[in-house]
Amino acid sequence: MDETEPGKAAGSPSAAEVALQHVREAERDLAQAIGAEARAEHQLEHAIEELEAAEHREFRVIVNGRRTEVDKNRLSFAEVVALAFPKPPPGQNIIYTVSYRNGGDKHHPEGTLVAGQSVKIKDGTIFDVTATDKS
Amino acid sequence: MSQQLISRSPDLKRLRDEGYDIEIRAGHLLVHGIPYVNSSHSVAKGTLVSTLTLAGDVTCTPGTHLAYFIGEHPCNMDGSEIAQIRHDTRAQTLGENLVVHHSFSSKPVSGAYSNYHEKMTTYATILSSPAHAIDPTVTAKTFAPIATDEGDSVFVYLDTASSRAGIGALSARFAGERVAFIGIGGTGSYTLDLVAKTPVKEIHLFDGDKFLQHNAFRAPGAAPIERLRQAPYKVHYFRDVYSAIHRGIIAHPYDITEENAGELAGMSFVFLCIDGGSSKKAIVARLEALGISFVDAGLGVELGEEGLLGLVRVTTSTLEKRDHVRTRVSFADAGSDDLYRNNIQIADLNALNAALAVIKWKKLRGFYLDLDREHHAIYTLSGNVLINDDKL
Repeated sequence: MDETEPGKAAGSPSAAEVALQHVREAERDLAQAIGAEARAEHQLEHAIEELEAAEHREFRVIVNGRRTEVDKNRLSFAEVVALAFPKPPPGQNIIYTVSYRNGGDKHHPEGTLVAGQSVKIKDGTIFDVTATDKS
Repeated sequence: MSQQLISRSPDLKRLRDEGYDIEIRAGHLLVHGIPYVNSSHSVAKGTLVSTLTLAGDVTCTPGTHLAYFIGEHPCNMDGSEIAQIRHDTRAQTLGENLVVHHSFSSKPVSGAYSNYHEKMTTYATILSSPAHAIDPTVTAKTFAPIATDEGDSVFVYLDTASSRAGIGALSARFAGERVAFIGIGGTGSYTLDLVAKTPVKEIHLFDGDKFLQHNAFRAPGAAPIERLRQAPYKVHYFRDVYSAIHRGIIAHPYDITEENAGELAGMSFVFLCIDGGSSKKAIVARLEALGISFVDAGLGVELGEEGLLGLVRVTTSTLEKRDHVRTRVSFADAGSDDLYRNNIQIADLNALNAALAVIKWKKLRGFYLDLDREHHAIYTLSGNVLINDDKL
């Protein structure tokens, strides 16, 4: 025969324990739903990116104050520098500083680029490019 | 010595912070510039004097309620002497260089003054009230400049801004530092303007250029034309200007190159404010080898279709993070950049670059809180945006 605590019937959980169990179930459902939403969002972004690449869509961006159109949805550091300086000045070892804002990645809409990096763009992405070598 | 006594004694410090012109002379406390009315009904200025009771190097409760005065006997508005405080009138020598003319007696209701602030402000109010009635603009709180003794302080006069704000302990974080400026152009000179007001021990200026007319438009303050005619080296011009406040400025009228970069050994921090170029690469390598932290400040300006745009950069290199500098800082020899050279009305960008560089240095020293610990920051002029990168 089971020993039970006085005043508590064996096998019947208290009202608080039942409520706590309900909270845990609801939290698990919510976490699964959030995960599903994030996956769907990511898939949608990827699909849109695919579509944009397939369409050769033009994007209107601003580089050093000049409005220009590009036919791809990502721009590399080198491409941005080339847009800013179509005729590169003498002195090929210049390291340019590139900053962008209104970028295509909504989680990182602004930032800087160094050689080898690229950034997703959208209509209205703004780049500023100059060699920050003056004192 | 006397300024230390004042700083450590809350009653004397309060007098100084409130703007009273106080001095410790021959073991006495002097409060200069007390307005009073003389027998010919006009407002004059005299000096209140009190004995000083000390324990070690801080004040105790005043030993007497009596006070002395240097000047004529203070009067009421009608020219009659203030009889309520009269005690004695005769020249007395209290110590070397200290002769008083009158003594006053005004006991507070409590029987004794609890500190020197209470004592001196009570007498000052009694003496000044008639003068204030004649001319409401007169005050004993003159905020007169407070000189320091050589050897006591790196400052020529006391840093009352820090003591008044109660951040003296924080600003002491810079004491003992040996800071070098490589390049003292637009950005370098504004940086110096800020650093010269911190209690660093030594400020070394390295620059081989002369201070010419166009430089004056991209430098803090206003250079007199007579000084420009002398065509001084930049380091001599700025040493002379900032030696008015800081005693530790050392001028080196030559550029730092690969050959002499060893002179930077022993510096605690370096502000690198020179145009890009191969010598910058050598300096960076030497600073890394010497284990010296530095910030490299630089900016660029471009002409867009609708106006000037630009970026202002502060790249920081510390023992904890150095690898990013070579992808962030240009070591290319800068060609003739007519846009920057001809647009002299951009001193605000130099000043911003300087302020950002000095803020970063102060964060590294724990003066300002640094949560991002970024080692690269870019200000984008066209969008008024500051972006942090290379965070620890």
